[in-house]
Amino acid sequence: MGVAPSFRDQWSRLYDGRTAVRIGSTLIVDTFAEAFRMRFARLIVTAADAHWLDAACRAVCGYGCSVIGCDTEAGVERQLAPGETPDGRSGAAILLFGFSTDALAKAVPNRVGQCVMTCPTTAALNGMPEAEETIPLGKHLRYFGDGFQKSKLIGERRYWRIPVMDGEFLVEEAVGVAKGVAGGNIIIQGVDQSTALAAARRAVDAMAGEAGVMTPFPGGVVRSGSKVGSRYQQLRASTNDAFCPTLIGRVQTELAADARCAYEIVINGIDEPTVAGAMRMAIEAAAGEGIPAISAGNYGGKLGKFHIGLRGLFDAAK
Amino acid sequence: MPLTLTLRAADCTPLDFRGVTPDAVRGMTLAELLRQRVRCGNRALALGNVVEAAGDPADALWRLEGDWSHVHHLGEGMAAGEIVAAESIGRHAGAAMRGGSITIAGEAGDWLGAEMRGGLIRVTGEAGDHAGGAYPGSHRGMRGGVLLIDGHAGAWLGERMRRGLIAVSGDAGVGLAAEMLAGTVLLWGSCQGAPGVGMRRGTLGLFGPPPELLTTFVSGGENPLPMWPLLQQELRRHGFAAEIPQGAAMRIVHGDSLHGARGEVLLAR
Repeated sequence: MGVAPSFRDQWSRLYDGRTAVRIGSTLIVDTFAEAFRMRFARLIVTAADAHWLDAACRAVCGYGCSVIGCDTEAGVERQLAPGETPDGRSGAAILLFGFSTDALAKAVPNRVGQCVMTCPTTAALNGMPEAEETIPLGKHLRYFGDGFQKSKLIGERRYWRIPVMDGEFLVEEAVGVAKGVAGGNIIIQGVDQSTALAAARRAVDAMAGEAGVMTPFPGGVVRSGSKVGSRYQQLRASTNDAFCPTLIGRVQTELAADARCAYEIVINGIDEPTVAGAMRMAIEAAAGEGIPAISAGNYGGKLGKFHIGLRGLFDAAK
Repeated sequence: MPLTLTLRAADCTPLDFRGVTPDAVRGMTLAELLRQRVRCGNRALALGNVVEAAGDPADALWRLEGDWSHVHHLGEGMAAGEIVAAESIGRHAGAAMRGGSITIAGEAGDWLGAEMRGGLIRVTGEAGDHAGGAYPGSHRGMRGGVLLIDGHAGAWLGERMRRGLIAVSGDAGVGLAAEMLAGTVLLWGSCQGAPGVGMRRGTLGLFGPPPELLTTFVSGGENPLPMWPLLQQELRRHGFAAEIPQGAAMRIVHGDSLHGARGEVLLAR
């Protein structure tokens, strides 16, 4: 069992003092986040007030953490003031990511049909009318109107008015789809759980409201970071043992010497620079006392198209 | 540089501009344009005989100086370009147009935008009968585009309209949206007679005095409709000043029952 300690020694030799990037006492590990090309749709959900808007957003983003097990990765991009929404009500921009346009074409109408149309006072509108590619939304959902639905072509955009029990559910015929980047991430390593959690929340709060990005996991934070594959053949992913503090000594750990807890923040965005900018923002917010290191998750660079180096984020900033 | 057109003679002999539109002549030189034939009464004349022109047709932007109320079929069938009339314009302006825009600072004659399929027509003054309507024997009237009238409109506004948006700040004559197939007509003034007779689908928003609806129109509920803000934004985008009563619940009347009651007349309370 002498292997594991030697890796911790190796880690120390590798990162302690060697051209390290530090923010205060936090080491920014010289590694990269491996992100993937995915398709995304931007949905604008509006409602009569903040309560029902929140209810709709929570519902439509529910069970939308990772395409490993969910149909989409969904999250609120930002809240929209009444002046920013097509119907002049309070709203939210929601980003939904899928591996393909076809996958989104199945998932988005399902989610909107079950989670937005059912929610009182809401409307679902296209957040990317300029997109070249579209997927049907109201085009499918209109059939719920059982022949009483009405369409309205306003400008170049077609809307469907579906009669429901509180009036009408307004839904746009289609939503735009574009290429995005999913899987940008950082891994925050703390000396204990509470310190790491506080840092993770600082990071998520720093990105909240940032246009073009969203964090799909609960509260924006993942505690069960994964690696590709498993010793069990039926599983596509399994626990990222290298960052599990209870496995120090059993596996080749990537935790810093003082770290006893790690949280991953996964960031999806509309393009690589936006994701990289959000990662930098998150790192700067998370770094501090009790956070010996901030790292990132990757798969050896073999799976994802985008390799976002952590040091590069700060080189670019200079 | 826009093309400025001024009528040479002040007589009222009707001129027929069919086939001479900004997009059709944009590839011509000014001399070629002035050789185009137009009907003047019962004669065909070169355009140069009836108008003075200055500027470049290439921009597809025409400015019409003076009163053109005896000039008909202006912009008929145009697919792109812009016509700006400083005063009134004759019949059939923008009929069957597919794109581009016509702005009329004065009044427009009958059949304004009749059977138009796209584009924008804006009239500051009044419009004659059959605006956005259908020609006799035709199944469908306006099939797309936007027709905005700041003044009053004549009779048979939006007759057999199939798609598009008509908004009128003032009053409308008889036969409003008669046999309407779909689309949206909004009226802030009053209308004569019963509106929406024989309408199959479509939306007729009446924000003025309550109209006398036929008994084949069935009163529905009262609800705010989420599509109103979208329509209001569309009107604002075109600089149309009238405001749809926001926030107020609308009284919905379904009709015409003789044709399935799939149309709706929306009345501001």
